Amino acid sequence: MRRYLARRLLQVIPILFGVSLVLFVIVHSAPGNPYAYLFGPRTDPALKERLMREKGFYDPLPVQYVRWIKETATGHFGYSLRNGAPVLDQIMERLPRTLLLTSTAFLIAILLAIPIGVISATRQYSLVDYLVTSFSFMGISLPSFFAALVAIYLFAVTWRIFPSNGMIEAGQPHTFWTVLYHLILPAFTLGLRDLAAYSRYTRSSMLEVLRQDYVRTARSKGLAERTVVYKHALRNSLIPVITLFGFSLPGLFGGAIIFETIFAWPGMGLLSFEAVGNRDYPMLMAVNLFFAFLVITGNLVADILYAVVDPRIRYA
Amino acid sequence: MKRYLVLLLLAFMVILAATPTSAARPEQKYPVTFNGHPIGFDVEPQNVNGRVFVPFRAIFEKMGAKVYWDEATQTVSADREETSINLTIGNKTAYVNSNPIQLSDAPFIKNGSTLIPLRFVGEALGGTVTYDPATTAIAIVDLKYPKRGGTLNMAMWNKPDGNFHPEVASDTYSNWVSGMMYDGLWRYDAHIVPQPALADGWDWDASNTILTFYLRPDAKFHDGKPVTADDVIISFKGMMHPKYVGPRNSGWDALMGYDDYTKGINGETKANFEKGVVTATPLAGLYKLDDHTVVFRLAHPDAAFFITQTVFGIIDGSKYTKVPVQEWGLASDPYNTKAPNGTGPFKMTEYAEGQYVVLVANDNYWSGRPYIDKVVWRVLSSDVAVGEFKLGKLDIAEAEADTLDYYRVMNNLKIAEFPDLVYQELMFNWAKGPTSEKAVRHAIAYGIDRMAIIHNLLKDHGGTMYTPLHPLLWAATEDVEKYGFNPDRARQILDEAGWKVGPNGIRVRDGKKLHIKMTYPNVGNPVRRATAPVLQQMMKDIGIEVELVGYDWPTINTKVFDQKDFDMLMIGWQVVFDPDPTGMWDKSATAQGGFNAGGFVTDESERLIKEAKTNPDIEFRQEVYRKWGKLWAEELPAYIFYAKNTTMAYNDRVKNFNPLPGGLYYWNLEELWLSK
Repeated sequence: MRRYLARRLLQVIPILFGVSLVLFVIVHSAPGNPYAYLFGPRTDPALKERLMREKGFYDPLPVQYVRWIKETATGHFGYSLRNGAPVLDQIMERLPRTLLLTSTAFLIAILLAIPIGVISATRQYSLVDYLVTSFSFMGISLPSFFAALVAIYLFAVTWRIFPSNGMIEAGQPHTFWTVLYHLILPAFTLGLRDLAAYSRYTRSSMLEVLRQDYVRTARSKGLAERTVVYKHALRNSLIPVITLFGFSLPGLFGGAIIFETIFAWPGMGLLSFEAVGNRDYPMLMAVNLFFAFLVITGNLVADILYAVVDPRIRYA
Repeated sequence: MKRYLVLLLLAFMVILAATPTSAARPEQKYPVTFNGHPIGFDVEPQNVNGRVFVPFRAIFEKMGAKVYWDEATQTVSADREETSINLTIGNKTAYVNSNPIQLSDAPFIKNGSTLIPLRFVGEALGGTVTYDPATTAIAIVDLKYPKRGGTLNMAMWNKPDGNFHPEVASDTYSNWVSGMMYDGLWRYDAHIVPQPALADGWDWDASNTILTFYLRPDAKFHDGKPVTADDVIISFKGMMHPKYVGPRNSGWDALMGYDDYTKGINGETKANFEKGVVTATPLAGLYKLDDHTVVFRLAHPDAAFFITQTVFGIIDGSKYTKVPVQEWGLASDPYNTKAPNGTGPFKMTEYAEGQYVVLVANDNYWSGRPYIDKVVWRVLSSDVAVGEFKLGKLDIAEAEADTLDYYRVMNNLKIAEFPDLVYQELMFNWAKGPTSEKAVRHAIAYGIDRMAIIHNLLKDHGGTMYTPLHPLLWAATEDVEKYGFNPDRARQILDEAGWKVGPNGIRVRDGKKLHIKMTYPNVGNPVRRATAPVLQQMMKDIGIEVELVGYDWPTINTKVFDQKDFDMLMIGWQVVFDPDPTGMWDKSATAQGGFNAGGFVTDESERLIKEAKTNPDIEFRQEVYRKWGKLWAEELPAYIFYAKNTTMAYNDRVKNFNPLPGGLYYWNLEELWLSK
């Protein structure tokens, strides 16, 4: 297992390298240039040309790539073309906020989805089951931005329970509790989709397991229903569910882009959204590489979890 | 939302009304202030037999009253809250809430303004009036009116770039925040006429090449340091420096010594020049006479210079002796957000990147302390605007016209709507492709139902406009071909040009279909996006096949402005307050990246554009622009759909809010006050 892990982790390096190469070509071949906004309506075109040449905009792509690699190797991923700050600093400022948002959303989703799925499976075709299945069907089909707006309308505007946006209040002390208070609404709505999806997975997986022979055996042994469901059935039914966790990681971050815009949550999502609009190359590269890293890690986590929960799987 | 505006237009370089920009150092005999805020007059206060008379309307309006004039009874009256005041010309008895008050002298009329004895002002609405015989300054102070204090909550629909340095601020919100923190040499008043700011006066010499600014001796930076000529020189030299990166690096050509400065020949030591450090060393065309007098000297007259080049904010030069110009306003500039030192009515106390800006009142503002204590400007998604207003967490915000109905139903909100210097056009590729043929351009223009677009898509939040000489500007002219909707005329023009209707209704000539690619931004502005398919249908009706090509802004930048790879482009512009089309419609703007992407150039147009700049006389320029406008409309390098209104929603607790076009929404921020 340890050797397997080491090998997988080492593989990440060439993969990221390859990804960076492809990304670099794609990002730079998209039409548009990051300097357009810098100039006024009366700017002398010759002056503009000169400034862009000085900034290396016209250098051949390989030259630009090598320069980017150098800047990346020095550790700060270059400087944003928009505000001149080191890219890494900006990512490090925003990453924890996004991690906080996505991990809270994920935890909410998992902690609610599993019990919900179990309950609806053990009471198949009951009222609760119908409620759960129709709720999760809604959760999956509802566009997430719409869900967010409905949540804001209900919880922030109509009932005034939670703030509708931001992470802290301007001009007030920035405490843990203010952040938590601002976190609840976006995290819940971001987690909604996963909550719906996982409760369905858990339900169907649980239903399958409950029909297995060993469950029948357990019941015929006279074990309490609780023990049958939570000890024998649940563990096994979670195997396919847990393996999905890893894959939902990039999805959560992707969803964060929309949610951070609506809730004005100053995280990675907003950063990457703006970087695209501005064609801020160094920022785009760093953000995209980060997402690539996320996908790779997500897959790795999925594989590892698979081995952990299913004793039949062994990596060497 | 208005991203492209942000991109292109930027700064509020600016001007509007027919005002001569040359004024001798104003000899204001009796400067009057209300709670420290200067009052402007059409007719100056008068001294008659040792008694001072002041204009009734200007003063009472400044004090928050509504002023009326009854011609029949020769009565002026003013209402403010519970108080109403009546005075009659030539009558020594005035009435305050129907209580008679004896005046020392009767009111009289001079040049259309009613003048009343100064003493009465305090008796009428309360407050104290002091007249300082030494400076002849008149100060009216009312501690009870208007209400002081409170926090004004505002929203930014996009994250500002965060460069608040007034010389480099590029996006709209950064510019507004910067404008609250930094004053320029002059500023606009309610009539968009330049008024003294950090300079209390200026004048042009007889040759229109020497422009002298006289700095206000009492103007200070937030840290108490006085504003000096050196600060002005450093601010302006920065924008001319070849290492400067920002939207204000053009338009300096007329300034003497500018060329040499950009080449490093003079103005800085070699070491400083190479580092990008800007010092107060004078240029041939930018120097000081003393610590409070700065001179701009031009090689030849440039009528647009005052408005477009001298409006920018002044920085504290002493802070920038080590920060090179290429870093101004960037993260490495410590005076951008960490320790900014401006001159404006508000000071920045907190900036949370991507979240909010907090500004507090400058207690020592030269133009009177703001009535509001604090401004909190948050980054918000415009999707939640209605909710935020409902919660009372938002006081002022720009509102798209299509959302106004949501605001109208809230009874604590008001809508401000005013014509703005923004217009939407269809730019033709004048140089190549099917639209390079004048007949095709004319046919397209006659085929567009402009009024239907204004009425149905813009919901009448705008008006007509026929040339780039905006109707709000003094240079506007209606004496041009307007291309009213006339599809028959369009068909006839195309027939005559040899474009005959083909089998499927699309016109053909020499075996070639009349097929036109229309590029449009498929992001932002929903009205513009909705116009594209409507236009396609209108063109189909006259036999032109239009292909819609939607791009995002960076792509349009490259495809259209760099590569000129387009037939027609839908785009919006914001014009500046000077009508000079240089940079928009002249030859220099046809270069790669220039805004004249269609390539419209004629000898006559070039000649007129240049001629209009040689003499600052408004009437002379009007005449030249009238000719140019006519020529432009005949050549039709673009078809203008409409001039758009700006709409804003604001809480009715905000008083004195009077947004003006050209981005001057917050021009009188220090005089806004909150009633609740």
